[in-house]
Formats: sequence, structure tokens, C-alpha cells
Amino acid sequence: MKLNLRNGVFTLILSLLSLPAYAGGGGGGSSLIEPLGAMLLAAAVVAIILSYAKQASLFAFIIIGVIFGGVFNFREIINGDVMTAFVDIGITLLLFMAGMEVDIPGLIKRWKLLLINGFGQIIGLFVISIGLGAAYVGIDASYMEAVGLPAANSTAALIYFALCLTLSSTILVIGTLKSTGQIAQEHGQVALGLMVLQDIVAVVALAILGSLNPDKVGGASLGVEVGLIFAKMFGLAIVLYFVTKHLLNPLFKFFAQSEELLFIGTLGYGMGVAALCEVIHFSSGIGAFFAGATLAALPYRHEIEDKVEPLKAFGVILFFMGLGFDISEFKLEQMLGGLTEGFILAVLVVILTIPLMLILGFLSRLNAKPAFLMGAIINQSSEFSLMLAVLCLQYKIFDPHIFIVVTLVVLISFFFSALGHQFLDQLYGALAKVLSFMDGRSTAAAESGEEEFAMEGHVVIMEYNELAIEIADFYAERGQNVLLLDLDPRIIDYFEKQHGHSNIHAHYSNMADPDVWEDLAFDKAKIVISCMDGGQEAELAITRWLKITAPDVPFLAATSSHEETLELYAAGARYVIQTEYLAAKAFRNIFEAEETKPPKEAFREVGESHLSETQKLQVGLGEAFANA
Amino acid sequence: MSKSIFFRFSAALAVGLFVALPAYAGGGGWFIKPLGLMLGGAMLLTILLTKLKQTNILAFVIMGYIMASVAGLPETTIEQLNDHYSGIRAILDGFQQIGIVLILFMAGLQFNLIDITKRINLILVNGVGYMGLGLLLFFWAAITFAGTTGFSESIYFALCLAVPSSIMVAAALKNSETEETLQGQISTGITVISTLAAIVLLAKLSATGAVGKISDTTALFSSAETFKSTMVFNLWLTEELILLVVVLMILSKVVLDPVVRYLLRSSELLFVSALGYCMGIAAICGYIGISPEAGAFFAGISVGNLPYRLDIEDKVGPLKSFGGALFFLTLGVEIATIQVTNFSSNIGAIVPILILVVLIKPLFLIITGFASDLKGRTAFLIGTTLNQSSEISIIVALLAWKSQVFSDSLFAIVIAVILLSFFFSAIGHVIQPGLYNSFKWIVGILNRNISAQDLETKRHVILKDHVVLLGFNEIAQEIGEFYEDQLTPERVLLIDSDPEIIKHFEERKDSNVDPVYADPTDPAVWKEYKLCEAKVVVSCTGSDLDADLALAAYIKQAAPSLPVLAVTTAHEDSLKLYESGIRYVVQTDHLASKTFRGVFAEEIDKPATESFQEKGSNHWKDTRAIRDGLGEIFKLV
Repeated sequence: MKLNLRNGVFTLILSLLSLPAYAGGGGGGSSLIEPLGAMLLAAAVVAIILSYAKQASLFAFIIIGVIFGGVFNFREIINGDVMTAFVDIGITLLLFMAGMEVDIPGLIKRWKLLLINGFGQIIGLFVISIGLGAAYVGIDASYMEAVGLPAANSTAALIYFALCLTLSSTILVIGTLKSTGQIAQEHGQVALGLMVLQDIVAVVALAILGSLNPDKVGGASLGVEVGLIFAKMFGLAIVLYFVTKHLLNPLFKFFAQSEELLFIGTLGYGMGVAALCEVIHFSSGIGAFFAGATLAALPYRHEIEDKVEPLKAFGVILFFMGLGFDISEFKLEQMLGGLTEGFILAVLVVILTIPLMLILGFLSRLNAKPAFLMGAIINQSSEFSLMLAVLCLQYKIFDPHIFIVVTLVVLISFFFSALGHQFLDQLYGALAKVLSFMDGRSTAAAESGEEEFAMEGHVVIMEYNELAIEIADFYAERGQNVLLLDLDPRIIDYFEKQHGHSNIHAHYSNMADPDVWEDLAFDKAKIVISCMDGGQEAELAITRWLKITAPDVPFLAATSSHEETLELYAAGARYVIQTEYLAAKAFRNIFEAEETKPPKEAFREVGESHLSETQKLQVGLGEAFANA
Repeated sequence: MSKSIFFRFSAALAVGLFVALPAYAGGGGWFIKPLGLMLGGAMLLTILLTKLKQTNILAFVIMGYIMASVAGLPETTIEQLNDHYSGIRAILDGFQQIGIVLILFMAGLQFNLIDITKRINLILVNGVGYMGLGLLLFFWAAITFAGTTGFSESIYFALCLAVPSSIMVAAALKNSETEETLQGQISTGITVISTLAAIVLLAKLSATGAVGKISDTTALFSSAETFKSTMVFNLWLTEELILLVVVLMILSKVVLDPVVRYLLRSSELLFVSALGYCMGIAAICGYIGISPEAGAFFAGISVGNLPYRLDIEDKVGPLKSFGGALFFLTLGVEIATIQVTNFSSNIGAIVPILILVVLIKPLFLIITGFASDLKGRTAFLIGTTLNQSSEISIIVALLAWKSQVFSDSLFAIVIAVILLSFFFSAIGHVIQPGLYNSFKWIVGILNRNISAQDLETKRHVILKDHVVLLGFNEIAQEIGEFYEDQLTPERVLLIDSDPEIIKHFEERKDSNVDPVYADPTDPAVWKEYKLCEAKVVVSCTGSDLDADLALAAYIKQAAPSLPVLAVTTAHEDSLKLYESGIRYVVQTDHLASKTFRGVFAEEIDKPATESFQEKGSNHWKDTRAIRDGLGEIFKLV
């Protein structure tokens, strides 16, 4: 019978497969998937190869853009409007994420270091680059006339050329700081603040550049327009301040209920503010930047970043591929014409940034190593430089030669800087003796303050429930704190209000996200305990991850199923808290004691005792009782 | 007062002039404004829809429709809009294509065959039966109500309406916390089978343009030659798909595993590679004539089998959500391109077909449930969980419309029915327990329980001072073992609606458990098997609080001195159960955490390399012993 049933079912499936139900087309119109997919696949392969040479993936995107754009003529096949739309979204989200890096309390705490190093680097390198632009590249009125551009644009050309050389890459710097674990260190934090300053400069520069667009009809003078930009920026900041104060927290607490809602909320808010800025004739980029900054203080920031990052990355990938398309349009002689200047300027950017930061470090009383590391990490031009260069070319501020020089400076400085990031310690080791005079004058310790929760030898509990309560209570009796991860905003809110009265430090995090395990240093924990209900897949993944990264860290996982228990043990979990198993064992004792009593009395006393215990818990936990 | 008005007016004027001044900046093309407004609007709508327990898909479709209507559609065509908004047609198409590929890649990534294997027989019988009946009914409905004439349009019309939504089913099961119950597992399994069938037919839909010419009814049946060539092509297409699956599975085992392990060191590299793989496989499939959509889906499955699935999902997931948002926004725009008369003049088709989807589809489970011997409650709950169309159906419908398999009118009918079915089905999910109480008579035919008399006479079960277990889990197992370990083993009556658990105990002749295949939450069952004359009643149904409350009320009235115990995991439920008269609540998490605290205190101060080692090892051995004892039902407990 069983066989017949299965045979019948499979016959039905085969019949379905052979149904002559056809149609033509498949979307109609020209397909975007084939050319774009081919490029992305090729880019992935090249990126993997480049990773062996310790190079950033963006070279792969540019190379593929050049090859597919030039050789296979994909720039004609892929619709430019679609590429532009995704790039626009990517840039808006890049600025949104840059806004989210703004840690206002951190900036205030390090204001002296930031003031000297941040403004010093921007002003210092900008002045040097102005000199190089004028003296070496020869950008002046006569140059502009010679290449057929308005002579009046020579000052703007020189300023934007210098700016392109001054800005450092947010993508590369933050990537290096994160991958080398320096982001939490003193120089990492200062570098982060510096990147924020640069981002603001870049955003304003992009904004001012828009007013130089020759196709723009009407409008006031540049001075008025720049003034208006700052005035609107100020107005936007005030509006968003009130939004943050009165609306944002409850709004995002609502969205944080689920990952899907958080994604929709973030995207709607970020892109919505950007769009509203366009509606009021203001830069969507600045709007997105400010929207990001208002979210920076929310407890859900890391999850928000996690959700937006891939979208931004997709836009950035297409941007670089588009850049490759643009490069492929240049003739070889044009490229070769800019190569010498590009190479020399790139080398100067890479080299000169380091002594500049050492001088600024000396002035701000930084020790030698952090000052050196900062200089050696930010010594490249930026992806913003490429955006500025593209716009300058469109607005007739740059001629193709300057555009090529800037593009080459960015690419070559990226290459050398990324290479240098692999050997930071060795490079410093070679210079340590010479730079030793800078050490011993640091005041950073007094400024840096204390970290709230030490991510070493800590107890990690995932998800708040009865088990978590019991473990936290165990450590409370010992006077020790525990780190609790949960995705329920009500739980996070509850423990934030309990701050100082509870030993639980609650953190809004997705426990299934591998970045969270790394960021919250599971590999350095004393013990990691997952109390997750229905988190089997994440628990298996954590078990495997810890087995590789920190096999001595005990990992305990909770489940209610026998089958999942065996899976967890097979994966390497140290102990599985199988709630039903433990409960059944404990209940058997109760059952044995009560079963022989007369029916009227059986289970009455234990029931009443459990009821009163639960009522006490209800009073103790308050609102969190229902969520536990 | 007047001064205040004057100031307010001046301020409003100044702000208005200020914001209207064209102080522009770089970044953000024209597209950011409409897109941002749509996404912002969708965010606000989502708040409302979440409160109404509706799917968020509707928010994007509505915003897309509103924006397109504001832009002047359908009076103005998209081609005309192209003059004002550079490349709008290409952008819409591009977003749709990328959105579909990403949605299907993630669907493949999350496609879990284990969902089927736990209950393979039940899922196959009910799933294939459900899809088969669905295709037949909606094929008939397509011809009768929508007036289709060709085979292709009818079958794709039927497919769109037969497939249930994986998003809505998952959300409904999560909200009711029944993912791991019998009905939850079968519902998920049926969704998996239906999605697979939809992908196969989607692959056929977009595979080639050549066969479209021979796809209508007349061509199909008028010429044996045509029919033969159709079948040959069809077989070839099926072989191509099978070949694709085989190649991707080999790739997954041989190449992807080490490559992804290498990529894990850099999240950027992992993202680029996952994206490249997804889009690349779709592109290769497109180049060699297989559907890119199917390619993306099977590419997703091939990486979903890897142990690094979470890492990949974490990187590509947001992009899929974004792709989904763009896809549903553009769907709203596409709907706005259709003349409203296509909807209004087809109300006569939309309403009956919607009734078939929302009200008649659940009845299929009575037929398949009868064939697979499911109980009425289980069949009803599965049926009312699956009574909607799918998000994959929207993709199929859109592609069929763009391939001119569907006319404007047919597309309007299908889309209207799909979106309305989301709405009504979601409402149904919220009131599902109430619906069951009102309509359980419909599925009464499935409750063919053994009578108490037969139980006593034929199986010699004594229904007096008996121990009753309602549902089987670890607690029930422990109680069963307790009575088995007595000097004179006592028999225990187990009432469960899981046919596999009942079968297990029926086959175990040495067990002290007397299994009865019946619905343990049904008051008629409590009466039939004389629960009020029992020695003790333990409800182990767990997630069904309402049933436990009803049981407590029944016993309180019929036999107040009888001890009734109920199992739950939540504090809040414990309080409610005590209030209703349950003598003792076996709150598993409470008992487990108290027991675990002892284990923890004992182990935590040991050196890191030793702590929990021995306890873990002992527990592992215990669990293995339980596995050997329970056999096949081990995975169900």
C-alpha cells in the first residue's frame, strides 16, 4: 500500500514535469541579468584571485568594468539608466552609513585630538595638493583655455583637484580598522572621527559642486547658494534633532520587533529623508547623511548597519564597474599621458600623509605608534574623489586629462596603501627607534575614559528567558555582570531602564549573524550560553565557529528536541540544555511524590507553591514578565 | 492673537520660500525622489499593516500604484513618461529582473528539504494531492470564470492560484507557535513541494520563446507532429533542469565548500562572491537557454546545503529584501498601467475565484486528510493556513503577462485575487482557533475514532481510574516510564492525533501505553474516553493553551477532585492555567532552569577545558539511549 501510494505520488510529479505548458519570453525586453550576472561572476573570481595578493576587491570591479566595457562592449548592452539608478541608491546609502558612523559623545570626548589631527590632515594635505596641482600638473587659467574649458573654472578645478587628493577612502580605512581589530583602539577611534570629518567635507564639496553644474538653469550666485546650502543643512539638523528626540526612538523600537520591519523602517527612513530633501530642493546626499547620524545613537545601530551594508556595497560595486566602463572609453594614449603624473602624485599621497600625521600627532601629544598607524592607514585617495572627478568631468571643471590623473592617483594610491596595510607592524618596527622621541607625552588615557563592558572573559547569554534569568541570577549572587543578547526591543528597553540596578548588560543583536559573534568577542568569552528557542541553525553555526576560533570556550546551547540535541553534540557543543529532558527528570521526582496521595490532595501543595513563585516573579520582572 | 497669526504666516512663508530655493547639491539622481517617497510611504503603511496583521508586501504594491497614478498612469503610458523621466522603462524592467533573481536565490537558499523528510509520507500525499486538486479546480475556474481558452494560460492561471505563500505560512505558524506541531510540519512541507512545482513551471515559462508559438489549444491538439515536438522539447527541458541540479549539487560538494570556507575570512569578499555566484549562475542559465530564475533558485539550494548558509544569508539577505521591495513597488506601477476597467469589469470573475482560493482550497485537506488518515482539527488548521496564493505566483503571473500568455484582463484577475487572498487569509490566520470552533463540524468526517466500548471490549483497556496522557512528549514519556517501572506495571492511556506516534505504540506490544488515535483537544473525546473517571489527567499538548483551559473547565465541572496537570513553557500561561483550575502546571522551562542551575553551579568553576565535559557526555549517552528506545518517532518528540 505504501509502495503504491509513493508510486502514485511520483507518477503525479512526473506528469507535472511533462505537462506541455509553455510560453515564450521570460520577462520580455532586453535582459539585464545575463550581462550583469556575467560581470559579477567574473568580478567575484578576480576578487578572489586579488585577495591572495592582499588587494582590495574594488580593483576587480574596475578591471572587469574596463574589460567587459571595452572588449565585450557591455557598456552598450547594459542600460546606463539602470546602472545609474543603482549607483544613485548606493551613493545615498553610502552617505547614510557614513552618517551612522558619527559618534557624537565620542567626538566630544576626543575633540582636541580630532581638531588637531582631523583639520590638520585636511588642511595640510589640501595645501600640499594645491601646490602640486598648480606647480606640477599646471592647472591654471591658461591650461583650462588650452583644453577648451572656461578659464573661470580654473580655481574650482584646482580646489577640486586638491580635494580629490586630500580625501581618504572610508571603505578602505574602516575595512582595515575592522579587519585588524584596531577600530576600538585609540588611533582607530581618532581615525574614525577623522573619516567622519572628511565625509562631511566630501558631502559639502559634492553639494557645492552641484551648484557649478553648467546645465543648471537660473539660481543665485555661488556665495548665496553655498550660504543656502549651509542654512538648509542647519535647518535640516534642527528638524532632525526634534525628530530624534520625540519620534525616532519609539518608531524604531516598533520596527525592531522583527528584522524585516527593521529593514523596511531603515530603508524607508533613510531614503525617505533623502527624497524629502529633494522635494525641498536640497541635497538628498546630505539628507541621507543626517538621517544616518540621527540613528547612530539608537541601540539597534549595529543591526541597521548590517541591513544597509549589502545595499550600499551593491551600489558601490556598480559604481566601480561603471568607472571601469568610463575608463574603457578613454584611448590608450590618453591613459598613458596621465600615467606618469598619476603615479608620482599617488606615491606622494601615500608617502607624505605619514610624516604629516606624525607631525600632527606630535602636536596633539599622541604617541609615535598611533600617529604612525593613523598616517599609514589613511594614506590613499577616496572613492569620493572618484565621484567628485566624474562630476567635475561632467560639469566641465576637469578635462579628460585631469580626470585620468585623478583616477590613476586613486587607483595607484589604493594599491600601495592596501599593500602597506598588510605590513603595518613591520613598517613601524623599522621606524620605531627614530620616532621614540614622541612617546611618553600622551594624555589620551585621561581622555579615553572607561569602556562600559569588558569584552574579555565575559559571560555571554543569548536570548532572555527562564534559563537566562537563572544564569544571570547565579552571577548576580557573585557580583558579576553578564552580556545579554536579544532581538526583542522591549527586553533591551527594560534593561536599559534598569541600568545600574541589574547585572545584565543587554545588547540588541541578531544572534544568527556571524559578525555579531566576532564583534562581541565570543572567542574571548568565559562561557557562551545560548538560551534561544528555535535557534538550532545559529547554534550549530556558533558551535562550528567556536570550534575553529576558540575551542576552549565552553558553548552551551538550549533546545527542546532530542534530535536537535544529538545534532548539537555532533557539531561540538559542550553541553546541551535540553529543557524538556531536564524538566521531565525534575518532574518525575514531583510525580513520584504526589502520585500516591489521595486525588483531592495530589499535586495541590506543589501547585500552590509554583503559583506563588510565579506570581513573585511576575511582580519582580514587571513588564518583562510577559516577554520572558 | 493677530500678532501670533502674523508671525506664524511669516514663518510659514519664509520656510516655504527657503525650502523652495534651488540650492542643489550633488549626489542623488532624479530617481531618488520617487523611490525615496515610495519607500518612506511604504514604511508608514507597514506600521498600519503590521497592526492589522497583514503582510508587508501590500505596502510596497500600494505605494507603487499610488506613485504611478500620481505620475499619470494609465492615461499616460510608461513610454510617454520616459521622455520626462529618463530611462524609467529600463529601470522598472531592471529592478524587476534583479528583484526576481534575488528573491528566488534566497528562496533556494532557505529551501530546506529536511522540512519534508520528517513527515515524508504525510507531506507527499497531502502536498501532491493539494497541488493536484488545486490545479484541476483552478484550471476549471480559469475557463469558467476568467474565460481562458488556451491550455497555457489556463494552466499558469491555475498554478498562480494553487501555490500557497511560504512567507504567509511561515508567519502564521510563527505567530501561533505551531511550527513544530504536526500541522505546522505538514503545512511547511506542502509549501515546499508547491514552491518547487511552481519553480519548475516557471522555468518552463521563461525557457524559450519558440515553443510559445505552439502552446495554444488548437496547435496542441490539431497536429500530432506538433504535439510530438512539444513533448520532445518538454523532455529536453526537464533533462536540462535535472542536469542543472546535478551540476550545481556536484559544484556544491566539490568546489563551493572549500571556496566559501576561504571566503569567510573577509565579509566583503563573501558578499561579492555570493552575489557573483547568484547572478552568474542565473546569467549562465540565460545564455544556455535555461530559465535564469530557475538557475538562481537552484544556485540558492546549492549554497543552502553548505554549513556556511547563515554567513551567506546574512550578506545577501538584505539585498533580497531590497530586491523584493523594488519588485513589489514596480509591480504596483505595472498594475497602474492596466486600465481600471480590467478590474471593474471582471469583478464577476475575481469574487468567485477569490472564494475558491480562500474558502474552498482548505476543503482539499478534507480529501487528502481522509486519504492520509489525518484528524479533522489537523486538516482544518492546515487548510486554513494554506488558503492564499503565493508571492512566487506574482512572479509567474508577471512573467506570463509580459510573455503575452496572460492578457491585461487575465493578469488583472490573477493579481487582484492573489493580493486579496493575502488580505483575507491573514485575517483568517488571526482568528483561526475561533474559526475551528465554529466550523469543526465540516471536518467531523475525519474524526473516525475508536469507540470507548470497542476500546474496552476489543483492546481490553479499562476506562476507570485510568491514567490519561493527552499528547506525547518527554513529560508523557517520563510518566509512561514511571508506571512501567512499578512493581506491577500500570497501563497508561495515550490520546494523540499524530498518526506516526500512535502507530509506534500500536506496534510496540511490550509497552504499557494504550494508544488511541483521536484529537486530545476535542471535548467529545474527553467524554468518550471517560476522563472524569480517570485517576490523573496530564495534558501534554503544550502549545494549545485554549484547549487546556477548556479541559480545566470541563474537569472542574465533571470531576472537581480529579487532579489535572498541564504542560506549558510560559510563565504567563502558567498563571492562566492555575486560575482555570489546573492542579499543577508542569512549566518545563521553569523546571529545566532550576535543574540546570544546579548543573551550572557544579561545573562553571572547573577549568574551561573540563567544564561541562562529563555532564555533556552523559547527556549525549542518555539521548542516544532514548533514540534507540523510541525508534522512528524520536525525531518527532
